[in-house]
Amino acid sequence: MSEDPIPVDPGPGDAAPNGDETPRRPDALAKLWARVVELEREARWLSAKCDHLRHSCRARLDAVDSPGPLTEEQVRLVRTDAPQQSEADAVEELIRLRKERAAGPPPIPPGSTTEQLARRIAELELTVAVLAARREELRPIFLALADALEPFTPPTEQEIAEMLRAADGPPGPSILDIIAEFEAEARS
Amino acid sequence: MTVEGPQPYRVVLSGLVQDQLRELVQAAIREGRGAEVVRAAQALQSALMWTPEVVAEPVLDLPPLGRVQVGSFGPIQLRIAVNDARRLVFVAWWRLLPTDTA
Repeated sequence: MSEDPIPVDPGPGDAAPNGDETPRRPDALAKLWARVVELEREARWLSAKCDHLRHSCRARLDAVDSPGPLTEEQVRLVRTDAPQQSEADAVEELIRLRKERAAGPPPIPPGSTTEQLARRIAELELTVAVLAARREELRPIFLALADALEPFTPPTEQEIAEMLRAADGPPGPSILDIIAEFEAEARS
Repeated sequence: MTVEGPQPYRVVLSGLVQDQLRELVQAAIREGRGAEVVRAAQALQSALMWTPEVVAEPVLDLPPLGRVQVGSFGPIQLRIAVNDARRLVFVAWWRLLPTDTA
């Protein structure tokens, strides 16, 4: 009996006559492979997101009088839970990931079996759960620190009207255009 | 088969926001932190175009603007709103952290 925890349509012809449960139907393997790819990408997304939050929290904790709005436990988490990549690398990874997602899953590696893919899925589900839990821990910490530095206020009516006007109008200068103004000024 | 690539967000800065960004950069230059802020702003532009959900956390649903989020990149803290069609990002205010600790 297959121990595959992933619901795969057990239609006729799914297993070989000798009892080998490696599916012969390419769509069964493809489904599992698509799930593996999805989970791997979700894990990379969450990992980079957590790293961005870790950087943001560390920088903001240094900018408030520690512990600021945080509990001692939260401060300890921020101080000990080190980012694994730089903030810029985390963003680059996510931009890459977005492009990969748009391109769809890569081809199934030759020789893949249901059991291998199911095992990988189980591992990845665990990884994703751990990373998602860490993100949920870091998120309120970031928001509390951000609020301590700049209390959140909803956009005013005037800001909303102006933003909508700008959105409907011709493209204005970008962040890079505005930065370039200063660079040009520095050169002159 | 042609694979359609992801579409970048169209990042819109209102006049008010443009002025706020100029003030932020001027303040950074006065503090001797111009290069740091320019680097962060350049990376932020790319992040906002391609993956704004990474640099921000949602805090408020505000139709018709979509979700208002508090974001950060390096020493810059900002408030943004993304429209429902995921095509526009509005940057509404900026704040510079007091030190380069990112």
